[in-house]
Amino acid sequence: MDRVASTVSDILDGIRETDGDVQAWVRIDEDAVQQQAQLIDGRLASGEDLPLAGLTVGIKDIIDVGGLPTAAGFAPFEDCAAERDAPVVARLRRAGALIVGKTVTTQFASSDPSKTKNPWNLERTPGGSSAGSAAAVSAHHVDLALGTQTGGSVLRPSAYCGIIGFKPGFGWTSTEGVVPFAASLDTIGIHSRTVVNAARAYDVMARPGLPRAGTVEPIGPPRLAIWADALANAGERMRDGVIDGLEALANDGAVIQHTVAPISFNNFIAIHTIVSRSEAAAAHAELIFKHPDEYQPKVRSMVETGLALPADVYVRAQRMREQLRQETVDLWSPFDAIAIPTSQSVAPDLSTTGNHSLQAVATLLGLPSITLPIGFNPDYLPIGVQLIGTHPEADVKLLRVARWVEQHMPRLPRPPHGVQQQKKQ
Amino acid sequence: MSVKEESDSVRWQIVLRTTLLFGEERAIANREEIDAAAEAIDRLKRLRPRDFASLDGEVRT
Repeated sequence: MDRVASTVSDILDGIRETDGDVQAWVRIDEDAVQQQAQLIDGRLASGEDLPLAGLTVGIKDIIDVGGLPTAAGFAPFEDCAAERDAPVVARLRRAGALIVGKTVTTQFASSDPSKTKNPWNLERTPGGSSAGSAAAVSAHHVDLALGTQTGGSVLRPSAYCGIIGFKPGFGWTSTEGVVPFAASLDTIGIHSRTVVNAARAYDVMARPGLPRAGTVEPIGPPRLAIWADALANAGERMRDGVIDGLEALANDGAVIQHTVAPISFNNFIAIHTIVSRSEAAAAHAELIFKHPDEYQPKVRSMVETGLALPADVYVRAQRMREQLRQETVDLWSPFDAIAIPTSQSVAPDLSTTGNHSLQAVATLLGLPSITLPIGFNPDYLPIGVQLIGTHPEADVKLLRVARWVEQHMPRLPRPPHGVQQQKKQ
Repeated sequence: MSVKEESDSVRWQIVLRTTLLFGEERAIANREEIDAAAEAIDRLKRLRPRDFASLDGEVRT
């Protein structure tokens, strides 16, 4: 029995052939991948039930994989190998997933651009901060990848790269073994090409007590609400693209209504700015003084400014946030999900990782959110629609709504700079 | 203090703290972030959390 081991060389060949352009990976230990595959085959042969048997996974390089460095894009960390897997990685491994390697992150999962390119167009960013994870899934290097989101770092790269990005509600799984940025915002997320695979990974990693997605029976036609204030934050072409997509869903029976939020969109972003900068400052309070010149410009500026913010504004922001979470849940509870564009525009050029505003509100409120590809702009770059769950523990409901939406959207082809052939099974 | 004066004052406080911690050069380099933070604080101060315990001037004077 070498069901998984027999696929390894094809997987690695595919990555070798295309990663010179895309540059999604920091490190792949080919021998370790082969050994893991043989181990999985052995477990299958002994009759173990492995829910993720042979599913290939990339891990963002701020999450520990035992034996490999967790560099976080920061040179002083490059030689420090993690002693053990982060709990999320251990759970994936236990479920039979094949951990292929570490994917590129922007430095400290912040907003300085990384080296990774978008598989749809090498002159465009894959977004950030989970740049390599989104690009690796988009390029068909792996089935799944883990990312993290503090502002919009799972959903935005997923939308730019034409894949699914799922950020469950805050606290859905342990963040132990993850390099922190802003502790009350940091959330592990899943990049995949299908809702079913995202749900399979979710079920394995979610903390005890949370419902499981199981077979992800679609909920539909769903009742969706457009939040106009957020919609206005997107560029005109993006707005039109998402509205067209929602109209198509309405033709298939979805109920599309409008909703509001307790405060303006820009005020949500203001609160996110204060919380994220203050907490990033706390995480980096010692390191920034030890290695200031190793920091990239944007993250350095963010941390230094965060250290200069007065404590009273942070306390006030957190109080406001707590109040808004409840008020927003109350307002949005009649709907299955809120629908807005995932990003302001399609993937911009390589000088930026894009703008996080449209993804940050769900992160701030701890609500689950997911992006699904709904088509292309005229330059053949993917457009994503974001669905926001209406309760912090509505992860499974959101997956089921997303499954219905996925079934009513055309599936994207493979990107031009990804693996083109099907791997052998 | 007018809204503009208060906003300028918040920004100036962040500039001063940055200068004390990291020097004037960094305060200049961080101008964009400082502006964004000052604007965010300005917005936040116009939002009043329910039952927020503070002894600000509006309540006590």
